[in-house]
Amino acid sequence: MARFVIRRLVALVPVALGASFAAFLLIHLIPGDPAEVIAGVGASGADIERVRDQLGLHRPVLVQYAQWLGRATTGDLGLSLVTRQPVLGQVAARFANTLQLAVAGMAVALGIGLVTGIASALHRGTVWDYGFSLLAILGVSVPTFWLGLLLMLWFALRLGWLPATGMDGAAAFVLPALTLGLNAAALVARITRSSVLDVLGQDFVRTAHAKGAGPRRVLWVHVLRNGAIPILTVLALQFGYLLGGAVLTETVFVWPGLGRLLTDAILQRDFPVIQGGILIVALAMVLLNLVTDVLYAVVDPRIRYE
Amino acid sequence: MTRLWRNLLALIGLALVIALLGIALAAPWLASADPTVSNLEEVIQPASSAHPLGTDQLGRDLLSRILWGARTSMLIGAVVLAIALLAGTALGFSAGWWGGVIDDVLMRLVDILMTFPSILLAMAIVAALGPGLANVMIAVGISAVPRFARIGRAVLLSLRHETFVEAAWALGASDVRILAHHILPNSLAPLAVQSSLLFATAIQSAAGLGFLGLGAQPPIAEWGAMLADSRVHMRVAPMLVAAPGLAILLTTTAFNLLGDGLRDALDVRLPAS
Repeated sequence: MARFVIRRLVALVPVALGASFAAFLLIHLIPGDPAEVIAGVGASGADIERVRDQLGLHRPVLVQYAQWLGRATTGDLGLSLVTRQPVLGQVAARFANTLQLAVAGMAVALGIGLVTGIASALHRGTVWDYGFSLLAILGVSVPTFWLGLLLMLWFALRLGWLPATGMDGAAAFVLPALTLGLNAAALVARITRSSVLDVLGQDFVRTAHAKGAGPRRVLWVHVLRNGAIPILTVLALQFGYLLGGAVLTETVFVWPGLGRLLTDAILQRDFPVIQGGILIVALAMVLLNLVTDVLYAVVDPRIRYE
Repeated sequence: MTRLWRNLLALIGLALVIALLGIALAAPWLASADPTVSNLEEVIQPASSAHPLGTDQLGRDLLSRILWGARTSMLIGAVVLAIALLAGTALGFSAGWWGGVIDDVLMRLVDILMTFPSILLAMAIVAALGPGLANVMIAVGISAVPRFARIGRAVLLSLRHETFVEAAWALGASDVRILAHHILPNSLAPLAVQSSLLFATAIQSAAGLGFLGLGAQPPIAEWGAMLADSRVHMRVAPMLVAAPGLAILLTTTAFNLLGDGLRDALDVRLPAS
């Protein structure tokens, strides 16, 4: 396993480098003169030169990238153009908040998705199955930011049960986590249902029943373990989506997360923050892929990595 | 799930999609008022015969803005689809057809783009191009390119050793001719399924970016931006938030149902990513 993890880590280096290059290149996708655009409308020639100088835009692109990457490996992502604070500190603090929200959202997705998915599969063709499948379709299609507004309007503003904004205490997590997790819950439910149905039709399940295993034991030991791989794949993809999709939920609930930071940075053309934030997300996604691969091997020992 | 039930859902999706396209095309005639002209003497009016859904915080007729918003959303979907379909399929076909180094380079590029969650990728592109409806369409389009590149490549690889392709080759057909006349027509089914699903995600992503203030700028009638602009008034006028959200939900549901239905009908079995 250790060798496998190391090998996968090495294989991820080119992708991580590529992603970092993409994050870096953003600034050069700006149509026209980046320094002029970043300095903003009405900036004087001296302002533009100062931006150019601070961001090192007068040097060749590859030299800029090498220097940016070199500093990034030491934890120096530059200074925000707006707050003049180190980017890494801001990005790290915000990323931690987004991560907490994503984990809470994942818990919602797992809880609701697994239960309804398994229930649908076991009660195939009943009213419950149709009802859940309809809910799953709506759950995939509902815009998260709208769902968030509705939940906020009802449970926070009308009933006053839960806080509308901020992240103080466990109660503050409930509405954002529900908002963020419901989309993913619908997808988890769909894949769980089809995956469990696939396994239910297999010979070894009949054998398990025949040798006298109780329905619970068949479900947990035989069905779920064998249906776990497709579910895991969706979970991993969804966790990545939750990290990214959190930006909308964060905006609704004024959650001090990375998505909110990025949106503000985009509106203020604060490129060091944009680049740093994108880089951190990319690295997180690369690591997530690694964790997923390792989990596959844990769940299904037949998977061998040579 | 019985076939009938699935077919019924797909038909509902198709009917809704046709209705939405009709509304989008006919918006100028269906809407009773100009969606962009504000009237500060009629702000946040309740529903009435003159304004069936009431008016918004700038006194604009909400129903008219919803109808025009359908036009905006369909335009977004069409442009995004055109970008993703053309660029993605071309990329995927090239990678699969020429193979070797070209395949390696193009597919590594796709891998790198897929590292980013698509809404963040779109945001990053908007960061460079600047906020606005046109740039959002470009950004969402580019962020969907990797999906189509993967599908295009997978379909091509599954077809290139089919007898009819080898026969065309043996008859001396050029690469371009084989791709255009033999591979493309046989890839239409998976591309159609993915196109319908992309339409849904494109509209949702663009509305999301509009909600963040990165997309359509005032006074354009766009559902996501409408939600963002009206949210502070949602306690007094819930309709201002309910209507655009329902419109997005209905539209995405319609295209998702149609896509699922097409997948069943055309019997497409390809990796989703």
